[in-house]
Amino acid sequence: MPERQPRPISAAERRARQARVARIARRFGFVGRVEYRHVYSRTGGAQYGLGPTPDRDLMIVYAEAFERDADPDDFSLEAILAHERGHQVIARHPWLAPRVAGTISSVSEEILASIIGAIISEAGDDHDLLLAKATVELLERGEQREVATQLIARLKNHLERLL
Amino acid sequence: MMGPKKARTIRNQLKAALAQKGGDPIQWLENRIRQLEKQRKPGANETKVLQALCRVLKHGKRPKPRRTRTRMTSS
Repeated sequence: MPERQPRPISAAERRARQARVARIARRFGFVGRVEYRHVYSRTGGAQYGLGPTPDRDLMIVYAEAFERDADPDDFSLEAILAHERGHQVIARHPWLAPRVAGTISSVSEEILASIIGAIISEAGDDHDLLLAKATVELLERGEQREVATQLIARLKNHLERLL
Repeated sequence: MMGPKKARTIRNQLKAALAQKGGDPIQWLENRIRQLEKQRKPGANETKVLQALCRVLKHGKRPKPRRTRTRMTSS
């Protein structure tokens, strides 16, 4: 069965999307290449790829990131990219990277990426929703609500001091 | 990866997870904020986190983004 494809867009629209994602990624401090691909992925809209050096890291943004951005019930493009920048910080920060590399689960990394995304987000809604995402992921692991909110606050404190 | 879970789903899951024993999740957050403010712990970021979660549950949808048009210029 053929995979669902995004509606076709003009070359100008494609360039505009590329320029927009590159601009947002740079604003959040992303180092490396930023690419827009007009296809659907199974990533939720964007993906971070670790390169051999920071300037060869890659952020790929997919068509669904723009669809999500247009949906007021979903994450903005900025929130999606802030989360991906969070992954780069985890992988590249001189203090953080060696302490988490190979030692934390993928769920824990997602939680940290969301908290970092919240810290670097300028818009209030993005900040709040990314913290909510991190909290839900902790609650899903079976943490009590008091413990989950305390832990998110503690992690946010530590990360704010580091960044 | 951000994952496919919509912001709306996150909000609903947060609401359900904080509403333990059938309580009101916003009420629980507000009570906890009051509790922490009384304790006035130094450097307690938890109040800010709880306030953020409270806003997520209270506000709902974010405003729809402005549609940007791509302008073509000829030289």
